[in-house]
Amino acid sequence: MTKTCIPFKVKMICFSIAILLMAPPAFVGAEQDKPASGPEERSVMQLAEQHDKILGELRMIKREIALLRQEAAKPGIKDMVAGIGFIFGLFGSAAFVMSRRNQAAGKE
Amino acid sequence: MHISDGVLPLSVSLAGFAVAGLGAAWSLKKINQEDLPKIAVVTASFFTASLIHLPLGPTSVHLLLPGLVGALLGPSAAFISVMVGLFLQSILFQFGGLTALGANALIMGIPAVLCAFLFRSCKGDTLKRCVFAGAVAGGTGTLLSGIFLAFMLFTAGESFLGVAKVALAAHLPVMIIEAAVSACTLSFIFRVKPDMLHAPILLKVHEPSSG
Repeated sequence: MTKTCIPFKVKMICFSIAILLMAPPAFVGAEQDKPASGPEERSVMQLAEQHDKILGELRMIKREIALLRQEAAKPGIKDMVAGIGFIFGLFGSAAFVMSRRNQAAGKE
Repeated sequence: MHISDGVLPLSVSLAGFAVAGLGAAWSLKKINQEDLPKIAVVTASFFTASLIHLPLGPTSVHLLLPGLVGALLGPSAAFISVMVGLFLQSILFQFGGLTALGANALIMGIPAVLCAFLFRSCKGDTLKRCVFAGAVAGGTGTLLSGIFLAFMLFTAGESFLGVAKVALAAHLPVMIIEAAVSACTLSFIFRVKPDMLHAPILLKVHEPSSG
């Protein structure tokens, strides 16, 4: 069978067009691979900002914890009531013991 | 005006406990059974009074009331009342250390007893005399406490006059307010129930046992 004769020029033109059509995707791919100053550096900067913000919040939280600790150490109503109860209990027991002693002495 | 843990040397701390123990034993012997409720209430007020803070510049001082305790309870019960109050303040409020409890009891207890004698001798039968004696007793209580505090810290190595000056200067408003509080309280009691002020005499008369 005889080859269909595509003239050589036409072949060359088709080949070059094919090459040209393949080039842009290759370029785009190349841009994505290269570490350009755009997105990556931006994300690094964003991470650094977030880090600083978190450190600031941690500092505020630590300050709040110190203040809370101070407040918790202050004597409160609970301690006051506990003390008053202790005093009344102590003197009440003393009164009870003394009255028992008086009773025993009175009986004798 | 309490001494914290670790300030006093061990010898002073132990001596303070010994003398305070003696004072407490003496006080316990003299207590009348009928007075126990009164002693309990006065101890409770003495214990709670330290929660009342008076701002003084950067820090604040609190009411002490040894003078009022002495005036109300008389010399016999004042010491044990102050000691119990201080013990509870140390445990519940962390005012003053437990190792310094004996010394603190002396610092506040002896002025209470002295103010009791002072009030007894100055108290007349009129309201004005009673109020005046009460004010004097209230103010003198804090004054003597400051002097005793300076003495205790002097044994710990501080300079007596320096500590005395600072303590008394810081507690000058407290002295004035305590004098006012004592005067008001004693005037009220004098008007409502004057026999409460005629506490049992110092030497309790022991009734001879039957037989």
